Amino acid sequence: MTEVVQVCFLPERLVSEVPRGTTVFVAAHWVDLPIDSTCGGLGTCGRCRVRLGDHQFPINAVDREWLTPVELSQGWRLACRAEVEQDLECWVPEPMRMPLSAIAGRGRAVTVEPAVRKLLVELVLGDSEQWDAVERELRRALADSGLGSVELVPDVVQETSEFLRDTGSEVTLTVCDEHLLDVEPGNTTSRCYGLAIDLGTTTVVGSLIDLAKGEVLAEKSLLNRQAVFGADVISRIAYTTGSDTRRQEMQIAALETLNQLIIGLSDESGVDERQIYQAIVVGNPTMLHLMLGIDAQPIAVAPFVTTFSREKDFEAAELKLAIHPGARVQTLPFIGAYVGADTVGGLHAIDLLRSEKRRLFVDVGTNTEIVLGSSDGVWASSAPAGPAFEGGRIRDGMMASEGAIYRVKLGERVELSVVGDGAPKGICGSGLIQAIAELGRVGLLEPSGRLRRIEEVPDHPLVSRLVEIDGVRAFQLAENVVLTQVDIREVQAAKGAISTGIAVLLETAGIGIEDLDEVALAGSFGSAIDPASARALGLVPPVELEKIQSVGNTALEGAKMALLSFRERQIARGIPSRVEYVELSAMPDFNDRYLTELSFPLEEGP
Amino acid sequence: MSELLKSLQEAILTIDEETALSATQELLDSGMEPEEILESGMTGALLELGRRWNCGEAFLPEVVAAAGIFERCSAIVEPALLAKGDRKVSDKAVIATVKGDLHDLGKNIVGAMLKTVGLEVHDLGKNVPTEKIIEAVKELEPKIIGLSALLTTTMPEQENVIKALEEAGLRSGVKVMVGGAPVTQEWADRIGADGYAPNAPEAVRVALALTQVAA
Repeated sequence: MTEVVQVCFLPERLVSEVPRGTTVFVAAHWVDLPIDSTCGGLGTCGRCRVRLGDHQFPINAVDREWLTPVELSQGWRLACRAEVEQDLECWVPEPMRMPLSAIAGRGRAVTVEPAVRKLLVELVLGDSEQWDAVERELRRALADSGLGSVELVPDVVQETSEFLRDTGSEVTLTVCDEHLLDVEPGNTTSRCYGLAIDLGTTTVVGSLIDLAKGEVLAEKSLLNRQAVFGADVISRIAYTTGSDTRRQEMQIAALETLNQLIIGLSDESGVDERQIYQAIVVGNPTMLHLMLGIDAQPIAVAPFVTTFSREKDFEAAELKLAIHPGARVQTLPFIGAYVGADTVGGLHAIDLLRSEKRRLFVDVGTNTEIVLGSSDGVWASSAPAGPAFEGGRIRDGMMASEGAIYRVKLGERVELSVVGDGAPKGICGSGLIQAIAELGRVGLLEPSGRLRRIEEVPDHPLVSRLVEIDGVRAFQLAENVVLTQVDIREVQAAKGAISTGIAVLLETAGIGIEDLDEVALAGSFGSAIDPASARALGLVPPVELEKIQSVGNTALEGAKMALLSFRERQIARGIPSRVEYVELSAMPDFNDRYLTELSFPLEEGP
Repeated sequence: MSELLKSLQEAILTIDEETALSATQELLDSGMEPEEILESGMTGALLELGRRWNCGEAFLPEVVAAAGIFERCSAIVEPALLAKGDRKVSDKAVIATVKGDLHDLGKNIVGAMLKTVGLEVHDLGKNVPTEKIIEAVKELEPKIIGLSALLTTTMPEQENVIKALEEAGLRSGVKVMVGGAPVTQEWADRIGADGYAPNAPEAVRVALALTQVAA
């Protein structure tokens, strides 16, 4: 029998009972205690530091890479490497807090024509409450409303014949697409709801919508509970590879996140979950594969393909989602293995395919989606930017939660804006971009990405901020927050991937930078980023500043539109067939292009 | 160290190809042993490049350019080595990016640098199936193989190659090195690799140590 040991997490005194040999990282996961990590417990990010009660706890080689001898002697270890052999107390510094994320985005007004319809009808049954009479009457009522092709489900007919004995013959039918979902006694036509969900790798955002009025009742965002299995899609897929159990575990984590979101939305709005009849879910291909329990492995190895790419349509009960069991859960299709339903939603929201304006759409993230075009033609690609913009692999990097520096202004002195206005604890993606752009502007950083040495700029007003930490040069932003030369290299590597993607698409489409009418920055990061800094770093091409627009969470907007109108959903479903996917990793000269895109354009100036 | 050797190193590090090539030629003309030029001059520069890489001072474009200069400098030294006649047949190295992975920038840099330290490098390319690697090992009998993987999902292929080498009875005859962004020393130990390096210059140092042990 496996021996069980207890890990007591402080300060909450949460106790996790786990088999001997389990890591502290996994033990925390068992009790739902989030521990910061961007690698998902692989021992490569060094973020999951915890302080153990037992200061003599064995030190792993990886611990030595990330922790100083003093820290080690104080009991600090990496949670993902610390295998628990006996009962242990463990102090977790500050649990990862909910990052700020964009909920709203730029969308378009649509005519409310949802696929879900409620019909108030009178069933004429005479004295018969028999099954066949009920069935006949339901068919007639549907046919009278022009819905003769809708399927009848035996359970619904059965339930109807049961309640009809006790109630009047006035009933409300709920139909979604070709499915009769429910028959309720009396008139419930005003209570008809739907969900639009953007299932992101890091953050999951949901919107509860009154389909009768076309109004948003509540919006919420949560961290994806899959995060413990890895921060990015590749590590999530790696976790599930070759194991059905792990694939199920991953699916359950996604569905639990959605249920948590649903409960939150229904609490906030007072809506009965059972009157939610449709959910449109968008997300990247990996997230949708994992949510549906479908093998995602082919996405993560060459030649990088999805197991499915068309839209899916499930009954909520099959997925154990806590809405009406017959509700339809529908996804939007994918354009490529790394350009998914979230991008399809985004393109639909800004109507990129039907507008004559030539636009570049960039959704910056660990995987950055890039789409270029107009009604004349559309090209899409994706660039693996890595976690730098989410604060990953950055010395003092963090998500955009409390204490994160999100704006940096350099002049005679350093001006910072911090989330929550408290003391700075670290720097998030938008702060990082602006810090680098500002260092360039004030002449402390070369376009090659090299920080200047003190000897090179002895009279600079900020020279005292140039420091060296463990042999690495850095710029001191705040008392305990620095931006190191190595961090800048991480940002360059990420930026290089994105600008290579943009350059390749512009070339493929034969569109010049001067021909661009707009650069749309999508996603949470896209709405937080300062356009001038993005341009100074070369994250977007050198266009006039007013052409750079933050469009917010367009993925969710697209999902809302598809929910509010079945016609809009039809149009969104047709998007992939009109977009040409360009695979960057298959380009023979990718490496050379990438190397030339690593430098920053930077704009020195007042 | 002579001024000329220093200027060779400095030229490599500052990506001054012209000076690097002429310094190499001058060193040869001055009668310095070709091995000495390779070992003191270029390997020294390589170590310094590794240090600069670790602290972010040097970045990919510099490392790629330096690797190119290394290659061309060693081409100048090569005829002298051969002419001396006492050059032993070079050890062979087989390198590849494993199946399922298309990232080859790092692998290419390592390949270029390994050539400069006197190894005969056979680069099998990217997305290379295990069978092809086994075939190459049988045919070429290399001292060392280097396996690159840049995705968490393709790392297990490194382990598969090691297992296949064992099954084919080839494992004892060859040293295996692994690398790539998600790869760690811990992973290398777990899958039974002989060596790991976090960057290209370090990979060269490890490769040299492994081939010398194997010699």
